[in-house]
Amino acid sequence: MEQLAIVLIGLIFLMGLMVPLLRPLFKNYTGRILALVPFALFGALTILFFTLPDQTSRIIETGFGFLPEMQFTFRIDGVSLIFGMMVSGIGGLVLGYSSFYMAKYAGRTKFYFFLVLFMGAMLGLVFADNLLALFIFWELTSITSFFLIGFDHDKEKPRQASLQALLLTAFGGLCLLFAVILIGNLAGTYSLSELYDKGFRFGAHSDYHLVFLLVSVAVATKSAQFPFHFWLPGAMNAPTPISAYLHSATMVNAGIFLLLRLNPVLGGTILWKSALILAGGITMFIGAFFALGQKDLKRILAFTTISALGTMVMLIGMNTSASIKAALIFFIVHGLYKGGLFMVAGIIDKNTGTRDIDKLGGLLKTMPITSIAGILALLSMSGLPPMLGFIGKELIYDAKVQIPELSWLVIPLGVAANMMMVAISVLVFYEIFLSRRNKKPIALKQPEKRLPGNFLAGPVALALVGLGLGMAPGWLEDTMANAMYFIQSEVVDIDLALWHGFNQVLLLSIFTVAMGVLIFVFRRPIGKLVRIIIGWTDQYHLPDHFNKLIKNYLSFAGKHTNRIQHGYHRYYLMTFFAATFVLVIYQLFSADDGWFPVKQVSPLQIHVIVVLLVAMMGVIFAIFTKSRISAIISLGVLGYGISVLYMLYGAVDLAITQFLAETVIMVIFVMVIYHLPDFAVLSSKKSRVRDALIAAGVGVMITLIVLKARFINLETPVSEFFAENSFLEGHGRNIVNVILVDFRALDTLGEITVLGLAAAGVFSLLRFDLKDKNTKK
Amino acid sequence: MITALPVFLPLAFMIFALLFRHYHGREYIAVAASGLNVLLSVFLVFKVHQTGMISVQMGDWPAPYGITLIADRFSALMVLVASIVFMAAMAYSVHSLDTRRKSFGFYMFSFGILMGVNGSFLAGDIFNLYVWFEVMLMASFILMSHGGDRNQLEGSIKYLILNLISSFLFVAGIGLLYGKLGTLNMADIAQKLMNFGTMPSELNPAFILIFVGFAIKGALVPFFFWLPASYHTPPPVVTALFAGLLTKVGIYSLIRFYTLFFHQNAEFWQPLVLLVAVLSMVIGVITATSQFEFRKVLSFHIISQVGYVVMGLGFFTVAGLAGAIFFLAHNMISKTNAFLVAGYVHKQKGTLDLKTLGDFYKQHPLWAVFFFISAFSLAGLPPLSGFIGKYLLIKAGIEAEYTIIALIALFVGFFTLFSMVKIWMEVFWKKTPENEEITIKKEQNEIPENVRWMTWASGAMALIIVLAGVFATPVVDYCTQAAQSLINPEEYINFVLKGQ
Repeated sequence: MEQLAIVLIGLIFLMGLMVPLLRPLFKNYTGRILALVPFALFGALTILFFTLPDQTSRIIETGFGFLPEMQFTFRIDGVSLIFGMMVSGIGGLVLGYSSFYMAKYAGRTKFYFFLVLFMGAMLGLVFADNLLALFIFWELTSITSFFLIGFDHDKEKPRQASLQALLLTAFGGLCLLFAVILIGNLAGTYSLSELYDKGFRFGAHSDYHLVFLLVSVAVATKSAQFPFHFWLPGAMNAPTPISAYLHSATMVNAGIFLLLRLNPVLGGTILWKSALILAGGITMFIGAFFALGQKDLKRILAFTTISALGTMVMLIGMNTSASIKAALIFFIVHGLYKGGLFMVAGIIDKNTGTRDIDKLGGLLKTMPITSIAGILALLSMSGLPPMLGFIGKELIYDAKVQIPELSWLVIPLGVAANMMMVAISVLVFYEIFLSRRNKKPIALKQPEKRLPGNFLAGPVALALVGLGLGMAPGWLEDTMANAMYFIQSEVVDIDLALWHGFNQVLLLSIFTVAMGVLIFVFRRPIGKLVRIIIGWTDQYHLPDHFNKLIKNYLSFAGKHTNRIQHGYHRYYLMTFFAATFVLVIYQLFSADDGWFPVKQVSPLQIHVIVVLLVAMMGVIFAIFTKSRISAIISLGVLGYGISVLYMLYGAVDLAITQFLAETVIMVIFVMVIYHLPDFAVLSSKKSRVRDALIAAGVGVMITLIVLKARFINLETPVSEFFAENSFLEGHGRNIVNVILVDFRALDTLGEITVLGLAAAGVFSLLRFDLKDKNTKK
Repeated sequence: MITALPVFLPLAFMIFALLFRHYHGREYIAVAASGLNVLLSVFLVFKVHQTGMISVQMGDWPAPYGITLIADRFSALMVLVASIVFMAAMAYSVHSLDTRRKSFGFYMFSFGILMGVNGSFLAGDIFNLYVWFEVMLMASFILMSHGGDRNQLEGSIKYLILNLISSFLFVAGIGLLYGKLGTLNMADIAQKLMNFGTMPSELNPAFILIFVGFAIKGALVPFFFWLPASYHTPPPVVTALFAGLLTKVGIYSLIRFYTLFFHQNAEFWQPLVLLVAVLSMVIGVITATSQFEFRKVLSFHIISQVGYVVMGLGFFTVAGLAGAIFFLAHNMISKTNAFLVAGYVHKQKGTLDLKTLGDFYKQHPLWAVFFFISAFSLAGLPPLSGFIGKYLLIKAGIEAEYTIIALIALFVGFFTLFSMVKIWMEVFWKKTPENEEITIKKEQNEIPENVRWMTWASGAMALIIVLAGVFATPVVDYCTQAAQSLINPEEYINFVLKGQ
């Protein structure tokens, strides 16, 4: 069965890649046909779910890998089964749902392409045993969700939203990569199983803080924790099926999943507890608070997701059996109701043309099935029996009560957030499904009966599962226990039931509901207050600030780029020389034998000095003359002077070559100069001084280097071999010639090629120009 | 003998091209010749992989005296990747370049570059390396100015002059080194340095000059100015070719020299190289994100990405070098392909200004895929080759306990992603701004209408990027072996000097 599951996950990837080929084949049935694979996977996972042998068993299947340490090893245990079933089950429903929702959209091929790949990536993530593989899938979810959020990319807003989502989640992804490599480097393995088996705990290591920081940034960005939460409401720009999927079972829950997976390795420290509880608590509260002030149904739901994610992070931070149990159940609860509610919102949107809760109303009568599915989901959201949500909330309170040292903080925060959730649920229920007062009757595009059955299947199925699990939570117990073992590394018994007797926790629940209803009753003044506060916080509207940040960064980068790549050729040259100068001088001064090459200078003979003086006079004249011709000629004096030097030291061939080259260069220069405009001094005195300094610096540098060269001929220099062999082996009396055409003939060939290329280049440049003129005429 | 063929094959084609300048099938012959070059390189890699190294002494003069051409795993891989890049560019040019440029020696000059590049990779002699640099410089300068647009000429002047400084410093360094050590053969120099035990400080000035020469060639901070000043001016296919080959030769030579010579004075060189690497990565990426022209974004990124390679070199561990080699090879392919996509955009719209472009995702989905693959590979996203490269380098950094530098590299990757997404959103996603009138310059009308060869070239490169990411294991193994032999130069030295 596990092989089947893995094959099915592979098949999802394959299907995703094949969408462009399949869609013309399946036409409008694409969504429904594609949905068959996740459903099949869901079936396989269900069987595995009920046949996990015992609490500590896991199944590891090794697969293909990019690199030996980057294996796609599958890990099937309680945690991955719970997540995997949610991902595949809701995934199938979303695909079926999209089939109708997206029916009139352009670009459906791309939509299915990315949706199915996203699903595959998410499944890969939850089943990965290898941390690097987990990271790869993590990145893939970021990339595919980028395309899904930006689906409507003609418009500015979705583009911005998808950019924010990508930048934030990819940033987190990079942090995750780094953390994973750090962990792998210390533990010597990337495999979760090995980490768990070894009982590897990272808490005491000196790099723990860095790793924790990186992981928490990864989690916070992905799971929309404060202050990185702001991309999630923006992600609403995606079509509704995507929102339903991103919020309920995938994407944002990846961070939760990661925390659960790394809990045995990183968890349990003070830092872990305090940071996660704090971040989670704040996120939980502000999510619920902001939700209260929204009018758009989808935005309300988005903010409640943020709140729910905060709850889960906080629970994991507490790191007790009760809290982990609560987090797992709450994940299921949240996935079920949030997926359902988004689908309901999508149906309402499609059928009425609005998602504004002030405009909607009385849908219970006109759209009863949709409404009932929605109401069941809302019940779960507000944590009322007999839904699974009730059990979830009871467990959360239970967990909070059980940590006395922090209950003063987490209980008030949690109760407040839950009150608001109850209030929101009641509000949504009342405004959308009941209230008709003061509202224009809302016109349906078509009666609910005419809506395709599968369209409604999604929310109805999710609502019923929530209900069923609430009635019979015992089904979850075994797998939960298994998951708990791998999260907490201890064996715990799980006992889930709707009724836990009359206790402190139940009292809290009742109190919460009562207060929630109270908020609802006073919704108008409270809503006003909330909106005032939101209006005030809007000046800190994070998405705008993020955009501003990007803009500021761009202008900063632009300014500095213009300073670096300014376009002035002379400054480029200066930078080159100055940098070289600094490097060489630095090296000279740091050398152990001092910078000044006194000891190597041999006495100069008088005729050498004379030649040098003449050559230098040529240089000085070239610097100060106002005529180009005389500058060239005086430079020629330098060149000839050098050739004389060569001659004085016995290098006749070299001297002849130098003479020839110098003469030819001068002739060419003179010919070119003839065509140039008159010489003019364009640069200021200041810049001339600067140029002089740089030139002098480079000159001094080269001189020093050359003087310092001590000519340590360690072993026989190769030239002696040439001298000995040029006649005997090379059959030539002129050593230089033999070097050129035999010993080092390849160099000569290269240089000939350079010359040939240059000639051809000049030819084609000139001809190109000629032809240009001809065609213009 | 096979070692010398990658140099002589291009030469043969150049002679052919010179003789049959007006022959109309020239582009197909060029593609065929570049294909032959690919086959040759594959053969070379196989051969090298069996034995570790192969070399040839030109003119049969023994090692320190005659010129050595040598292929070890590193250089063989470079020759192979260069041949792939080159073939893609040749095939791409068939439908992307105007007939005038083609008939005025485009193919001849391109093969000149190939000859220089292959020669540089295979040279076992520092002066010979200089000669190949010259061949490359001359051929590339002509291609840069080829066609003679005003922009092009301005860019190519900067290109030429700044690169001539590189040549000047390089040859000055060679002269000094020869004066001191009396030999030009790389293995021989390395051997003599080793005999010293600690490297005498007198040799450092020569090495600094050579280092600056390579840094200019490789466009490292602060020696990169020629690159962004010129790369956006020639026809796109030329830029693509340059981007894939030229800077990489500089970096290749730096790695070669560093492992053979510089590292023997590691306390001076290692911090310097790491500093240059970090500066290149950071400054390259900041300048790149600020650009609003397709090719300029990509050009500035070259600086950042050669920085990555040099960083891997600076770690100087087997893992670091292996990462550097992999990253270098990956970058040659990915970068070239990103430029090939830019060329397609240019052909369609006649501009590469991000602000005036749009709608390519809808209108040209296939090319959107090509761009996505190349650009996001550059940004290091899985499962593309760039991810493997980035992973290897960062991991090497952590292992070598350069955690801070590895973190910098990581976040440089983030900004790379940002600028690639910027191109994606502007060119591919957004609607073409309505008030902008797209005018395709009339002078381009000699470019063939067809795009078939362009699609094949870019598609093949994209495929390679994906495959190199997904089936990375053999490539990484190969790179690791190459790194091992780089880090233990004795093998190289003995092979050249003693023929074992």
